[in-house]
Amino acid sequence: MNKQPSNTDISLKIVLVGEGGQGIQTIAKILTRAAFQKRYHVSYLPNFGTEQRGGLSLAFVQLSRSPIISPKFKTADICLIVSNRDTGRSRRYIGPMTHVVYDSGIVEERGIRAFRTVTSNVVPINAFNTTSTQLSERSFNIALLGMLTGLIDVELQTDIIRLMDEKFAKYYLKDTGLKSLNHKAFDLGLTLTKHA
Amino acid sequence: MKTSNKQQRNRKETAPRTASLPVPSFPRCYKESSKPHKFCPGCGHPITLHEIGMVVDELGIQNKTAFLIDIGCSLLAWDFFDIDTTQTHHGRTVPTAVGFKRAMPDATVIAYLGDGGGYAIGTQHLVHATLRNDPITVIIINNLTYAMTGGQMAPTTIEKQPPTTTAPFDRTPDVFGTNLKGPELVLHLAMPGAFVARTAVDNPLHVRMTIKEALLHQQKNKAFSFVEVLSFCPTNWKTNAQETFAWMGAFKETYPLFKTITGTNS
Amino acid sequence: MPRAKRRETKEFMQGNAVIAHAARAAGATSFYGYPITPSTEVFETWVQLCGNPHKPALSPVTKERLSYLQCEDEMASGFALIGACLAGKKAFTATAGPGNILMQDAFSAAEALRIPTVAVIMQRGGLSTSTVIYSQEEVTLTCFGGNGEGFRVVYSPSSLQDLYTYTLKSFNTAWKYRYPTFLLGDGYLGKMSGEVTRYPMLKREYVTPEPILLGPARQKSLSTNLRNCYDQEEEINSIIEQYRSDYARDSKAIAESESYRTRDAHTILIAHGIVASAAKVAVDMLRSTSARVGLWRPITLRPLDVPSLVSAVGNARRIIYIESALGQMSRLINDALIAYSETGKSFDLPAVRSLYAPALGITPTEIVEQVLKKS
Repeated sequence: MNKQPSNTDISLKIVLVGEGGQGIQTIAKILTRAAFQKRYHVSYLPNFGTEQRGGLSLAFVQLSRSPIISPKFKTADICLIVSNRDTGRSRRYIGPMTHVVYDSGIVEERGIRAFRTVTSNVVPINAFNTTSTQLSERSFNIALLGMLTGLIDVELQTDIIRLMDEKFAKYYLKDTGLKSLNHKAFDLGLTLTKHA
Repeated sequence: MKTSNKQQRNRKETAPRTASLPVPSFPRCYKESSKPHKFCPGCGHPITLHEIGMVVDELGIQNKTAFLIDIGCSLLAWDFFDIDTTQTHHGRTVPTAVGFKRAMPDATVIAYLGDGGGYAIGTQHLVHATLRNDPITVIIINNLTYAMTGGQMAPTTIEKQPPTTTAPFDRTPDVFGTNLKGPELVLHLAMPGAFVARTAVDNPLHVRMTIKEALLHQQKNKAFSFVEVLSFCPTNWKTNAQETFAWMGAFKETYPLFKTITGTNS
Repeated sequence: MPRAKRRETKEFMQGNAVIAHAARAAGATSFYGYPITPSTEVFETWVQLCGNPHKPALSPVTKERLSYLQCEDEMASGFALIGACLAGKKAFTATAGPGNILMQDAFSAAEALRIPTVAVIMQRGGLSTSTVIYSQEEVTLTCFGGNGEGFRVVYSPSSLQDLYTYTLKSFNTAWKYRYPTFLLGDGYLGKMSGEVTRYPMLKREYVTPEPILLGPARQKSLSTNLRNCYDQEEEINSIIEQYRSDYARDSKAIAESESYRTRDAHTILIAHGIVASAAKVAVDMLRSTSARVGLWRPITLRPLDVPSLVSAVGNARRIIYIESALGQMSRLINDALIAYSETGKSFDLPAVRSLYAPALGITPTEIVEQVLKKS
């Protein structure tokens, strides 16, 4: 056994750590659907408790150029943390090469300490506070979608925005300002990621 | 599991029809091979079953009736008729009938069960079949006791009678709560246009007319029909014939006979 | 592959939705159920496929109206399903965890009466209410629930594509052999989304249902009297013996398994369901280091494909059981191997090891680590 066993099939593995109501599952679905439409092989697996709102909510996303056989993985390439409820559970999915991005307005330092022991790639983004101040608190989920889009190397931006607009089409009809708000929030998330 | 018997075809022709001969009027849809039946002497079930058979004959629905029975004494009727049957338990006969009827709307579907299945362990099925106005006929035999298991307290047992092994010092409400009145419950829940009745086996003709109306209601109005048959169980009541009928009369004060089609304001 | 000739569409879909679409393609016309996570989207997707109840959509197979009923509980769902099957309709339900427990009342009756019910079980965490997420802890319940002997068919799909394939198959198996048939998935498979290829059922594969009550026998003036209550112990014993011999005969045609790179393998991984998918990736990872590892995967947990099992493990030095439960699958396999050895055929059981992670997902990497671990 000289060679290190490896699985070259999987190209991008993402775990999103949030809480119910933040739209974690929705943005994961939009991302995977956009990638699917770009002819990637994709897998999206939600993982949450019994609460409709407020409980810890995880999403496992994979994008690949070859078929994905197993929906769950040991180590993520990207881990985005926007909940203070998780002080260690998602550490299971972190390795030395994982890029951990967390919202410094939500996640306290003590919550992130466990991750720092595994990887040095830990980056804070002050997304929640920025979004709340510049736009509105309810735009945070769209800002997250923008952040996620900025975090991945895959070029999916236009597809993601299109799917987002499709998803919100019926709300746009009721609330005429919502579309431009969503686009602003998306861009804000994207910009925050780039600055980080 | 499965028995198939030749229908007693042409029975009408071969049976003696001479007016001078006193021929007992057994329904043509009886399954001859299962007679004599398995019920105790004096039981109310065979009286009710006889009347169901007469109605099936009269309406000519032997080939399109599904007769579904439950656990308890009702299951002794599993091969009583030359009619297609199946048997479940614990009141699940009602949802089985619901599923069957939805899949075969032209069939006449009867769920035949006891007061345990209908009013205790399977009450929710009766409640929701009522609420949905499912076009089936539910017939519940209320003999105020769990008969097949040997005379335990039923939801319909009243304070002093009949004696039961699980409330041997009477069903006192302070300990056991009160009794359940099925048709009254159904009346309270039913959508407009449901047929609800209580009849009693001491008047077989009344049983027959009530069940006939219920089955016609299912066929014509495509609505829920519910018949409680107040019945007797001399074996567990430990009564002789005279006492049985006397008790029956008294029980009608708690369980009065009535018949109604629910109105628009229910 | 005959599938190449079919009209295929590749879609991005959630596992539970895949099942509802496959059921429609299989000719199912009705669903009876009670919502429970993580199975609920099977029901919800079926409702969408039915359309407006006043103007319901038609089955693409039978041209009958599609319908559903949200029942008052799981017993009602299971028995209404039995009712629909008695009336000759391909019908199904979906449940999980505590709902699976309640529905075993009906499945036990279906086993006794040989009713071709089809049920989707999406395993959630074990030990009563537990989590709504995932486990493989409903294997024993699904295979042997109720006071019966397990005369059932239990498919354990491993992927979204399997969900489609084996949902289609479940209805045909159920109606051909008349056993209650289960599609045993889990919360991951049900809730995950990914790509799946849908295709219509071929006519020659379609098993036509007919009414069990008020069916062909009735038209010949023969009555059918079903029951599952008996007076004498000899009476029920003879029924069970009859079922046993039927099941042994039918098992040869029903049992399915997958042997993956097992031919020269010294180590055989045994896993089912979604864990088998992870194990398959692990096999490839290990093979890239020239480790002689293979996977044997039961596709049917009931009945087990014993000849294939024996040939896969017969030459191995060790087997490793991998499951998200404490040995519910491995007990089935061990029993089968012991029963096989009782037939007098020479067979040496290899060394046995296990990776049990009750109620936890298992990743390929964890399996690789387990295989490489010095015992």
